[in-house]
Amino acid sequence: VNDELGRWAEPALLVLASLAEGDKHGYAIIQDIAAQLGVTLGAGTLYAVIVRLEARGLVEALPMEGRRRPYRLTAEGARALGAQVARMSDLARLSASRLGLSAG
Amino acid sequence: MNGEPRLVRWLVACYPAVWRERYGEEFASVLSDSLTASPVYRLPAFLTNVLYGAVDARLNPEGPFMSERVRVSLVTAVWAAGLFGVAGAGFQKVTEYPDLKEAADQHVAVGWSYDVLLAAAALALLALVLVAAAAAMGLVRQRSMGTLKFLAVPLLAGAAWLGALPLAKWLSGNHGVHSAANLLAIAMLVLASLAVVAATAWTAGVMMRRAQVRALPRLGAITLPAVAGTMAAATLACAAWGVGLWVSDPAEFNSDDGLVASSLSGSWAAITVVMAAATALAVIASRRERSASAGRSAA
Repeated sequence: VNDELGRWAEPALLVLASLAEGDKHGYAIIQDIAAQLGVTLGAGTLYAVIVRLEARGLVEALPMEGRRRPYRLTAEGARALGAQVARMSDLARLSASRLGLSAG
Repeated sequence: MNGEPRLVRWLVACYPAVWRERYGEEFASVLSDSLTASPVYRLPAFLTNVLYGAVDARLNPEGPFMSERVRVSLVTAVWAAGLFGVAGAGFQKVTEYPDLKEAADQHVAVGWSYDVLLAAAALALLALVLVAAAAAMGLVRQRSMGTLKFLAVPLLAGAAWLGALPLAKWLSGNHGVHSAANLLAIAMLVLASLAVVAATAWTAGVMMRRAQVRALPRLGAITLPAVAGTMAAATLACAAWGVGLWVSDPAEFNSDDGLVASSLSGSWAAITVVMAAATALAVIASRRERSASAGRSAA
C-alpha cells in the first residue's frame, strides 16, 4: 500500500482500518476515523483514496442505500492492512526499545 | 443530486464527468453531511480539500478512469506543442535576417543544426496531426457535430490574426524599430499569435477529450514519445545553432539581430529556454501516458 499509493498511503490505511470493523458508507468512515483517531479526513481525500483502493481491489462497493454507498474491505484489503500493521508493529517495537520505552 | 445545496452541486461539477457518473451521487451525499456537521471556520479547509481532490481526479485518473489519463497526457502534449510552436516562431523570426541565412550557408554547424531543428519540429507536428486526425475522425463517426463546431474557434482566431496584421502595419508605419508605435504593433501581433496558438490547443484538447477512439491509447503510446523525442532533438539543435554561431561568427552572435532588434544571444537563450520548457512538458505527458498504459496492462 505504501509503495503504490505514495502520498495517499496514510489516509488509505485509515480507511482500511475503519472498514476492518465493518461495512461503512463515506460519511460514516469520516466520522469513525475522527472518533477513533482524532483525524479529520476531508471528503476530497476520502474519495481520492476510495477510488485508488477500489481500483486495486482492496475495498469493494456495495449497492447504494438511498444516496449513500457502503464499502467493504476485501480479503486482499485485509491482507494488505495486516501486512502494514505487522510492519508498523516492528517499527514501534524497534523504536520503543531504542528509546528505552516500555512496550506497555 | 437536484436536491443538494448549490455549493455541493458546484463542487461535484469540478470533478471529471466519468468520475461523476460513478461517484457523483454518493460523493454529493458525503459533502452535504460534512457541510452540515462542519463549523463555519473549517469551511476554507473543507473547500480546499474537495478542490484538491478534483484536481487529483483530473490529473491522476485511476483504475476505470485510466484511459482518461491518456487523454490528459495527449492534451498536455498539445499544449506543450503550442508552447514549442511559439518558441519556434520566434526562432524562425530571428533566423530570417539575411546575415543569419548567410551564416547558415557559410558555417556547417549553424546550417546543419538549423536543418535538424526544422526536421524535428516537422516530425513533432506530424505526430500531433496524426492524433488530431484520429480524434476528428472519431467525432465524425460519432456524428458529434456539436464538438466539431469547435473547429471554428481556431479558424476565427486565425481570421482575427489576419485582421490584426494590416492594423499592425498601419500602426507601425515608418516609425523606428524601438518606437512606441512599432512596439505596440508588435505586441498586438504577438498577443494575436498567442491567441491563435491557445485557441488551437484548446480546440484540440476538447476534441481529444470527447472523441471515442478505441485506438487512442495505442496512438498515444506511439506518438507521445515521438513528440517528446523530436522536441528534445529540436531543442538540442537550437542550442547547438547558437553555440555554433557563437564559435564561428562571434560578431554576429553578439549583434542586435535578435527579436525586435534586441540582443541576438539573449533572444536565442530565451527561445532555447522556452523550447526546453515545452519539451519538459511533453516528456512529463509521455511518462504519464506510459504509467497509465502500465496500469492498464496490469489491470
